[in-house]
Amino acid sequence: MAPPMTTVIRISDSARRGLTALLASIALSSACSAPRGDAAEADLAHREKDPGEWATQGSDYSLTRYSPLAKLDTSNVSGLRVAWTFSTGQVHGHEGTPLVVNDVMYIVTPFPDQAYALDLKKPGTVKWSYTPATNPWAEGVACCDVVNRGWAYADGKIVYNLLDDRTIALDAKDGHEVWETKLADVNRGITMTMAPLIVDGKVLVGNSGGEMGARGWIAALALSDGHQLWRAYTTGPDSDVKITAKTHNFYRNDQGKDLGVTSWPNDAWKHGGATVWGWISYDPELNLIYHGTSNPGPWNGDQRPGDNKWSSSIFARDPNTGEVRWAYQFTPHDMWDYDGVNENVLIDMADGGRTRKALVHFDRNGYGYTMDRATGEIIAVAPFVAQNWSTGIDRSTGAPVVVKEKGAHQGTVTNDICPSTSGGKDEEPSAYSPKTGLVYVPAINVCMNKGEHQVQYIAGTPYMGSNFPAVPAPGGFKGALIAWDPKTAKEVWSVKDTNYPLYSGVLTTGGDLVFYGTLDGWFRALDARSGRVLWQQQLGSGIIGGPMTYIGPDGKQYIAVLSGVGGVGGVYAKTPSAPPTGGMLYVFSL
Amino acid sequence: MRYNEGGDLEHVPPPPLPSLTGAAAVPEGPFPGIAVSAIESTEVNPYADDSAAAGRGRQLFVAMNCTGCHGFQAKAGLMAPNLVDNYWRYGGSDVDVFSSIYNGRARGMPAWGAVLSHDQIWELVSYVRSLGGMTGPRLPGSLLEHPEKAQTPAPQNKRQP
Repeated sequence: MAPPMTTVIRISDSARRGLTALLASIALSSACSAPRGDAAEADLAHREKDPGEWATQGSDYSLTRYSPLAKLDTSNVSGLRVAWTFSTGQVHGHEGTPLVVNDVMYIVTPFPDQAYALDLKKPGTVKWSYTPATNPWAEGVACCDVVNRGWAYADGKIVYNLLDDRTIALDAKDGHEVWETKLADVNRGITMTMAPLIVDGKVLVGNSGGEMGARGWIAALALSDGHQLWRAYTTGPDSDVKITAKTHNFYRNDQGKDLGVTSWPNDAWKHGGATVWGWISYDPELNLIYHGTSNPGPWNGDQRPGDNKWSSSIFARDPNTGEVRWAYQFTPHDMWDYDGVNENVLIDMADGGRTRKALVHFDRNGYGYTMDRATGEIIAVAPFVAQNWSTGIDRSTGAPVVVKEKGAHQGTVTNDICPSTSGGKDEEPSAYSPKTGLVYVPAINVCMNKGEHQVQYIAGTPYMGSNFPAVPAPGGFKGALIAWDPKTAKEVWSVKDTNYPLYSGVLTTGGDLVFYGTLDGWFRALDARSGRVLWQQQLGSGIIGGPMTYIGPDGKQYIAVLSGVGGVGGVYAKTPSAPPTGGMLYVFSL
Repeated sequence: MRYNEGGDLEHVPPPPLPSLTGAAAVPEGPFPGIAVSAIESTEVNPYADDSAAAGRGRQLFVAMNCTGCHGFQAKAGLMAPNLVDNYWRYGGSDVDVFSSIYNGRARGMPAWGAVLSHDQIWELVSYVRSLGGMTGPRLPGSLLEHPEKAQTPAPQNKRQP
């Protein structure tokens, strides 16, 4: 546990690193207002405000992926050079974001989920490493490559999920195991790939397996010893989902009793997907966490008439109990693999003289939503890529208006449905700059032909019943980095990529920079206001990880990113012109 | 081979060189002492060249959810290998493929021996062979001793574009 003295030391560290008095005062005020007095929580809440560190995957609880650091800016970024590199020795997809705490960088590889602590005082040298005995069977039931989407730090521990359904906590000092909790059975087709979020002494984790007939859940484990505090399901009766008298769903389409049962035929909800494999954000003031759910199972929608709640949805829950404050289903009766798991970025938005607590979400279904995060009301919504499965969102019921001809059905093939099963954006996280007020969205512009067939549930095998080849989308490009105004739900500018969809996370900084990577290995810095490409470098493999920034022991600002193509993006990268797989950490500075 | 044990390395014979015909000619497994083959290595597919059996195999391929991993056209999905080529990690003969289906493989191929009959597994083998991939039968004796006799076509160098 971190005593109050630690806080003081951290601020003097920041000062030593040459940060401005302004930043130090921000850090001081945030440390003083740390929620609920839990020492571990105060430690993380403070660290996430220290711009010299990067203590949580999304840079903060709001998942902004914004850093106020401004030593690197639009005037000098063209001088960025590789400072050091580190090979992970793994050839699967590298999706996470490096963390930096106390002059140590932490990374985790794809399966077998090895952890490395790298000493920034002797850059690139291994302080410790940890290789778990991960069950190889998990490799065969992970739908979309054997990735790990991120790891968490709090209270001197590194916490992450193993593909074989264990959550482990390591001592950040030396890498020894503090605890390990088994949450599910890989033989049932369940894996764990998501990035845990640590809130108020609780580790929040969820499952993967929406392609394998898993039933979704999110669980809270005690940070101290790993024991389970609560688990909430995403299909089934309200008591399992933790929908209570305190739940107030804004839209009519989401109101009613036990919809997680009644919106399915028979007991289909028991293998109904809606897994929790994406991101979790947290608002300490409202004391709510936000998470999405995956596609329903099976993919063949004709086998599950109904809305199939709560697949392809968003939940706002109380992190202490898991109780639902509100829920909203983005895509009722999803027939297209439009998971709702993408990040919910929490932003405070000026709206007619008041500040509105909002969240921004770019869904696989092609719509960018700006919602009131206290109530679940939609403030603004519009498509951000080509989409033709719906004509809009009915703001009175909350439900999308579906184009019947673009449904996918058994015994027939529907051509040119947009977006494809990859969605208008996949899990790769966007970034929000409070300086520009824009969200920077890594988007995918691909369509598909889709035909369904009867499928039976066989434990440990895919529960899909679908064939879905990709076809080109209107516009003549496959990917785009879109700068999006969340107030008006409109694109401001975009950088389009003709040949590849975007599968990398995004970083934006106080120096008005936007960093992201491409599937063919280009790592770029854009001007956050104009989208002009200011710098780019070819890395050893395609980029599907998230870039981050920190202040090194020498006081310089560094940018770090994992290269190593894979995941679903890896399929698009199997072209003669894209570099091959292979994990490598790159760290840049002036 | 004792190259991890230290000590007197000078008297350890060098390990045999990999086969000249490529990795696929020396398939992994079955691992000694682990896999128990349900059939003799000399057994012949009773449905060889039987297109009706291959058709029943296709139906099983869809019904058993093989498509979800290997792809609807069996040309690889996100989770499992291409079955339409000549690269077979665990061997590409009829008996090898029967064995892979029957016993499963360590990285996630389920074992179907308890669910499907021998006839059904042979039908699946016929279907996969009808796609044009796989390899010839394994030869008696080690391929390492007779690399020139390997039935697997040597992998071709690829230069793209």
